Amino acid sequence: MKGKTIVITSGKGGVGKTTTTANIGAGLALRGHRVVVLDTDIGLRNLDVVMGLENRIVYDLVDVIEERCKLSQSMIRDKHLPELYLIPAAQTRDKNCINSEQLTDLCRKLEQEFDYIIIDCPAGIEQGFRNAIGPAQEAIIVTTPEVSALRDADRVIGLLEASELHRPRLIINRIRPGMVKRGDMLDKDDIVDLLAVDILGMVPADDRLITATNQGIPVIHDKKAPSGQAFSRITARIDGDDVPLMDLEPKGGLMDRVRYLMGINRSEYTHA
Amino acid sequence: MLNKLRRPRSREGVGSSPDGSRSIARERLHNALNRDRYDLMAPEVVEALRRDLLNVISRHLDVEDQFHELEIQRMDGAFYLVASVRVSSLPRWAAVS
Repeated sequence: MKGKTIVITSGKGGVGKTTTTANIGAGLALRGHRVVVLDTDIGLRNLDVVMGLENRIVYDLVDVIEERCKLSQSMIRDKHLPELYLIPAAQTRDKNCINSEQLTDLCRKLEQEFDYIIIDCPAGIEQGFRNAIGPAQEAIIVTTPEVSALRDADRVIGLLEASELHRPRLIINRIRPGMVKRGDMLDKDDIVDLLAVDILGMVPADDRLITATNQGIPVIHDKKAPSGQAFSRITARIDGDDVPLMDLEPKGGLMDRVRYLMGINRSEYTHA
Repeated sequence: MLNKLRRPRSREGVGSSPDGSRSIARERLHNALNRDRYDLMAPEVVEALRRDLLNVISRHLDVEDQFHELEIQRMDGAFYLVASVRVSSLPRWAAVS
């Protein structure tokens, strides 16, 4: 068995990389794959809390790389999905304490046992970024529809291509369809036009994602959540299914529109 | 509350344009990307352009094998490809003047 290693990156911080990693990992496991998610944000680990596994950490990525534990000891099994594992980042070290070759060796080992290795990349374009993209065969860039995040995404696409990671795909996160409709937010076409990049999916801004994350449950488990449904479709595309991109639409109900106009930001969207 | 409902939301705030802030964002992103790409342009790109341009030009004119000037320049926020090459000898024109 030969698995595939995919890096989730963004350039800019705070756009939803870690949440995306957790949901893609869970989504691929829900589809019956054996998956390991790898937090490479050494010093600022967060994938563990997003997945609700923060109390189960004994060993971390640096421990396994420096051979203080066995690979199997560093892998934490997910609460919900028995085929999903997390290797957490070290919290007390820094990003320069590992290098790209060590991480690549680890991923090559994991590829023997797992279908997918999903790497959560730190923000920025320094050593931590270089480490994280080293082992990857594919790259996914997460952005929000804002000038700052998109500018950084463009920079990262250039760096990925220079590192032979061609045709990275873009996830546009936290889209607010009502604002797009009013002409107050960049839409998919603007982004494709300016960045010349393939879109892997669009995720609506969604209160249910926040409540799920509060509980340490990836929102993909919430069947009613528009963002969770978006992540399901993104996962299917990663897994090779031909799922068409849908435009996000504000929800049609009168009360939703009234709430929306009053600024009560409920889940205002139907699909991604 | 009624005020809030009536207010045309896309015209709020500083720098709004008639079609909402999207077009401003688009324009600003376009300019920022061009500026960044200009600053980060790989020397290999210019080198490949140099080779190809010389090939094409020498099909029509006898020119020196290097450019006197070849660069992308930024002027007033726009970008220009500026190239000049010395012509060694002009061809004999067939046209009747």
